[in-house]
Amino acid sequence: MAALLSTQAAALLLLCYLGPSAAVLFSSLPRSLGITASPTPGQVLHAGVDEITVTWALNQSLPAGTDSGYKKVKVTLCYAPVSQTDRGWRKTDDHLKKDKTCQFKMATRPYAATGTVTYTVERIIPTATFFVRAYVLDSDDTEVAYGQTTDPKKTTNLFDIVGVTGRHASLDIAAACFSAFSVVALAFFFVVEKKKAKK
Amino acid sequence: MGDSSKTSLQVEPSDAQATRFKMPVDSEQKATEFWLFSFAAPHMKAFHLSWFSFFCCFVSTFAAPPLLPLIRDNLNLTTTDIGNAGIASVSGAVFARVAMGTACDLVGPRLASASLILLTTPAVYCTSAINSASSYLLVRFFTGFSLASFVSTQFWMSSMFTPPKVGVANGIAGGWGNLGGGATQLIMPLVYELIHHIGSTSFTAWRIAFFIPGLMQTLSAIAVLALGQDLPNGNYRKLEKAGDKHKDSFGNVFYHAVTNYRAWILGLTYGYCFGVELTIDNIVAEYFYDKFNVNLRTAGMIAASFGLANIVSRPGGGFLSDWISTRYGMRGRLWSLWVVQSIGGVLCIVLGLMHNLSAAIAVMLLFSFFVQAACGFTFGVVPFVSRRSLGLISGMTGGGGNVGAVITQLIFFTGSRYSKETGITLMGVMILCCTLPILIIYFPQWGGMFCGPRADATAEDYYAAEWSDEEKAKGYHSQSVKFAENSVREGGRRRRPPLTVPVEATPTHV
Repeated sequence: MAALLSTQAAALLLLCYLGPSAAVLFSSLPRSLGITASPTPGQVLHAGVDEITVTWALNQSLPAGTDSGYKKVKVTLCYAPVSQTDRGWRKTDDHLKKDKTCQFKMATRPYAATGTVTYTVERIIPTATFFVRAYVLDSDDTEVAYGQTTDPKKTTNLFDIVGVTGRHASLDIAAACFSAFSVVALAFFFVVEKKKAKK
Repeated sequence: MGDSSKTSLQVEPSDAQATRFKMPVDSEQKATEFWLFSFAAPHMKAFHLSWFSFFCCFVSTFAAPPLLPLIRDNLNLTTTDIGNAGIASVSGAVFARVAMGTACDLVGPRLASASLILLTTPAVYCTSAINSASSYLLVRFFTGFSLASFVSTQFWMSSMFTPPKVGVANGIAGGWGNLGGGATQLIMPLVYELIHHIGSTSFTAWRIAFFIPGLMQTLSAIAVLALGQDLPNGNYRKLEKAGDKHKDSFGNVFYHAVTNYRAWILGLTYGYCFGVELTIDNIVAEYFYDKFNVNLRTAGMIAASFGLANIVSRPGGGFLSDWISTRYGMRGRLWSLWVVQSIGGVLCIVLGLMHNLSAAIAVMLLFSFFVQAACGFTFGVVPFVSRRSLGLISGMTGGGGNVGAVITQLIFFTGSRYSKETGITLMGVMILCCTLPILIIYFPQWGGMFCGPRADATAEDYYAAEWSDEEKAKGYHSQSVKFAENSVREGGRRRRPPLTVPVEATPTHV
């Protein structure tokens, strides 16, 4: 009896874990939104300084009522293939739960047929090539549709962002000072040793 | 006597026999007991100074891997860049360890280790200023040189502790040093979080974080210089000036190390316990992250637990090596080394075949215990291979460890030829194969795994054979003779009571 209960509990837990968001595939999402972003193709933006303005609009050719389940729009910054090569931590995977293409959330807004967001490029954004993609979420926060600024092969309309280096002159100076101190300390002990040995 | 207040900067008494110690010592003034929680000078003080400075070197060398998710974005690194830097971090120490061995033989472990550690700290500090894949590789390469301080640690312990205790001393010093590779996976993210919380941006906070391992390294090396001494009776320079210690030549030390086949075998086998440990330090977090989809912090904790097992596993190996030798002598040490390392190989094969997270963690922990204990067992044997070239042979073994790390990373974990789990399983097979040469090791006076000792061979002959007749006539080999007398127990229980040394072979003591 206890064994039966525990297996039932395990099965329930498993279902809850898998849940309604189980295995949403990107390839199954309709491209319902048309997206435009302010950066021109090949433009170089600077993290912490420049802004990106994204405008979305529901595709007019879709039948009415398509957007009945749409609750939120999540605009994300995504890596272009050239920034994904030889970098397994940015890999594209059709399973959205495992997908690492779009790692930076620019904004989340309640759904409207058209909308605009302005985003200042954060200082955590690395130097890479990007495009913009917006996911449409339903009430369970599951992706149900998307739109992106580039073509399905992700070759057109890409822009670059140059990240902050994180370096500061004060850090460089501190590094030089501490290094010099270490070497001088060694030399000091050598000299003292020689003097003591001579005595 | 105020022995505990003496520092190496004060003049040592020229009459070595007049020094009295808090701890019981043998005829070479080496401690015959090991008091872990004591700081008694000079033996236990040397122990604590050496393991902690070595720990700091490990923290610095493996400080980058836990922060890689930030560094790789900041510097725009590729997987190839990261892999190459990982190999570079362990390859510098290959030759540095051999050189360190020689340096210890010639100038003593205190100066040798402190010099190395202080000269590599600039690389740690400069990690805060890097801005490209090549500068990342360079700082990891030069920081990795500090791992050569392992050799000075083992040499120092072998100089301070008597043969029955050298296994446990080497094991704890080595194990608690290697611990740094695990501790850093916890320390660095913590320091980063703190700095980030105070207000720095991510890409600056990780840079500031590197000053912590740098400072730890600088301060521990200064402590070694100020508070440590090479030998129970004093430092090399003073003893050489007083005529108590003969200043050996590099050529002789080198010759007697490279012509000893046991040194080469132990170097190879150490590559497949310690080398494997280094490889795992570099790849395990990523392995668990990718295969089992745990988040980065969890992967880091799992990675840390692999290295943290060193608190007990490597010292356990050293302790067990000493314990087995009380009963079975050197043959027991060799057998237990081979068995433990082979079991480690089998567990490595199994680890790559685990598809369940908890099973994989369990196997990994077991694997960590066996592979690290094997390191402890190895250095239960190394001090007996040679007396004259102890430093260089410790260096060859240690260097061999790093070569193993370079080779396994190159063959199995670079590029996409093998998936990581296949790589781990194949690495286990390689461990089994490369551990077999232990079967060949043979000491004439104590035997090998399959052969007993020769009836007429003595430890004295073995160690005295490293000195020429002229050198023996001058009494240069006196330390070796004392060592031979103290290592009689390596003959095992059946050889007790100890063989009496014929009167005509006793040299004149200095």
